[in-house]
Amino acid sequence: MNDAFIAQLVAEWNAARTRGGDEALEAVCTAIFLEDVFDLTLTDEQLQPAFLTETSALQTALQLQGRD
Amino acid sequence: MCGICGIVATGDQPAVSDVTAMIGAISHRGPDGSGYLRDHHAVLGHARLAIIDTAGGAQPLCNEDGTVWVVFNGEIFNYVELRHQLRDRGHVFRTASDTEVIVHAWEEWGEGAFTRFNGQWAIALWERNNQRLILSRDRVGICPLYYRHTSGHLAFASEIKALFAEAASPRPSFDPAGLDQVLTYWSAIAPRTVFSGIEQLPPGNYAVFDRDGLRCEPYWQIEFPDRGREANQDLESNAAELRNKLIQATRLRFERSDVSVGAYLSGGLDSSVTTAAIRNFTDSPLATFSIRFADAEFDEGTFQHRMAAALGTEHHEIVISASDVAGVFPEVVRHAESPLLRAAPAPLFLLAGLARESGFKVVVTGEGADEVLGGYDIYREARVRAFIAKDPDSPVRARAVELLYPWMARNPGKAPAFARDFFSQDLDPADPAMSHRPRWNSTSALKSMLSSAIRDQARDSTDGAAVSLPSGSDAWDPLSRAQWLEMTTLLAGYILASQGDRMILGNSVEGRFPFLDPDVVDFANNLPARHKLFGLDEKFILKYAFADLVPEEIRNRHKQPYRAPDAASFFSAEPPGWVAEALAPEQVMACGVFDARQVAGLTAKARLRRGRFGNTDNMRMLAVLSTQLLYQQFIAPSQIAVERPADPLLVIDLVDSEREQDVPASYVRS
Repeated sequence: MNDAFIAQLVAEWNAARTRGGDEALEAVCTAIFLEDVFDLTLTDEQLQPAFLTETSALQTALQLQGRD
Repeated sequence: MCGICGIVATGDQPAVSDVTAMIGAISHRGPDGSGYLRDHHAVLGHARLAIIDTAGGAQPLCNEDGTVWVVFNGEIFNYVELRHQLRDRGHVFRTASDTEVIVHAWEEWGEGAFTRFNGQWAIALWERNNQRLILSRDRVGICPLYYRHTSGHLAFASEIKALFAEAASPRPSFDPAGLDQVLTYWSAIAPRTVFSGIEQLPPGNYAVFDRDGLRCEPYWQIEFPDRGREANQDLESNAAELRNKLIQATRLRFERSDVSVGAYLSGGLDSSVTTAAIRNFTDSPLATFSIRFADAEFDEGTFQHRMAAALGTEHHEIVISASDVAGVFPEVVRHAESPLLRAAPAPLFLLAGLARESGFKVVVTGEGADEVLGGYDIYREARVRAFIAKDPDSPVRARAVELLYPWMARNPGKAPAFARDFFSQDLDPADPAMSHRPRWNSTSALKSMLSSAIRDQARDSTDGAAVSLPSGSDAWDPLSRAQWLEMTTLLAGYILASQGDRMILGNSVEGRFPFLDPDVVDFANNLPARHKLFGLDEKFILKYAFADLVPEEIRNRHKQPYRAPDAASFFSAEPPGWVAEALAPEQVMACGVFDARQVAGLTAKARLRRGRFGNTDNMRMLAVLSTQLLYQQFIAPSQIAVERPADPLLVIDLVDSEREQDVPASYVRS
């Protein structure tokens, strides 16, 4: 899985989301998408808005799990 | 659509009177005429709903020299293109019907014909030279096809009640293993049915019957690519191709008809897409049909009206109350020929009646989209359960259940408990059917109501798992496995049968399903799972592809499963008389399927609460009522009334024609 493909999927996800409401729940929603698509498991610490709403942080998480 | 039936016997000559009785039993499927073919060892029957070549398409039909005959229920939508190909190969046509294409396609390609057909069908072909019968059923099971096979004898029909009309047929009885399947999967799984000795041809299969017996083979199977090996990962181009294929599929189903075609409009995404697609390529008046409910809990009238107004259709609607459901339910069960765990087929029966009364014989519907494009809650629930399963003790992960249902977000205090109690059940990632295990287990709770005799017989006659995923499916995406299970169980056995063919044809109307077009199904099956279920956003690619044709408020409304009032329909202020009769202890004991004491307790509870039940008791009551009705209608009567086939009756008697004219293979029509 290369960087361009990861960036494409993250961009598709971000384009489809409507922001607002419960940020913590939004982070859970994003985590479901990421874990499914990239076949990874995030820690509870990573299931946080500050982490999962940042594209760079997402890519870091993927790199940490060796998915890039 | 139509109805077909027939008897083939390798020894004796089948009786014409048996087959005319069989045609009569299914004349609601084809009130425009009927016909039969008599040969030495075969009689094929047909009840006709005239839709294509209304003047010349009467059946049975044959090839050029009368050696291959066919009776056919359904439509071959690409018959025009196939006829061109077959003419180029030298075949001569006498009619403009799709039926005649079938005999020539069989001659030309054998069983390879079935994979060339784009359509919905149950077919019976009789080869005089080989003295063999070929049966075929469409890929996903839109058209039904049942049979009873004994040594040297095969009777087949579009509906089970026609098989009961054969004079020598054994007295009907329930198959405990079939009932056991209904109380797990919501329907019996092909080849099984709920009646002993009666089987159904599985979707995507064909069968050959001759002196060597009956052999059944698949010509098509539901397949998915390995996860990550889908052909095209690009959302934009996949959405564009899906749109093209769906528009083409809808167009075929709208234009390939010699009678007017209407459209169902539920207020949801799927029927909005198909109706918008039709509107996009025709300026002619377009009739739409909707179910409204008197009870606001179930009603979707607001969205139906908005879509009908946006498309400028001639909109028809029927408002249904709980007493309407109760009033029509015995007729619904007679058509469904299966126990029902929901009352939802009843409003669909009434809706088809509205279409017919409005002068329509054909309707296009959005059925199949949820199975093919990942629309059901069961897919979203499975994804949430997989998410929770990674750390069942995580309070952060437990919040995922709030994403499934709006009421949970409004009651955050209840969500963690609900997650523990329901979504944490059967969390075995190694279980290939993990997605469906909670539904099957919760439905199986109904079996505690069975009488001990039926429970014992079901256990003794169950021959392994009715549903097992194909080898190699462990490499599929989990969503694909869930889709396979849904298409194999609920789609063919319940959605297209009890809620589909039976309710529509019960009113002499044909349903057409663009989402089940083979090109659409094959394309959708090869999509990356995330394009169908994007996170928890169901049918994502469909919404994306039709964003310009379907208003945002319909595209993005929370999915509303189609539901009707269940047990409450039968225990309102004045229940219809048949309810008390069906639930009377002596009737329950005579039927013998359910434990009379438990039924009495459930009935008392229903009367006390006026049928305001939770999910399990709702299903229990519906299962009991519908099973008791089946018993009263098919099993208890010592004799089933014989109905006449519809006029005009086309008679083709090959036996008499040989005797009178002393020439082979000529035939007469009268």
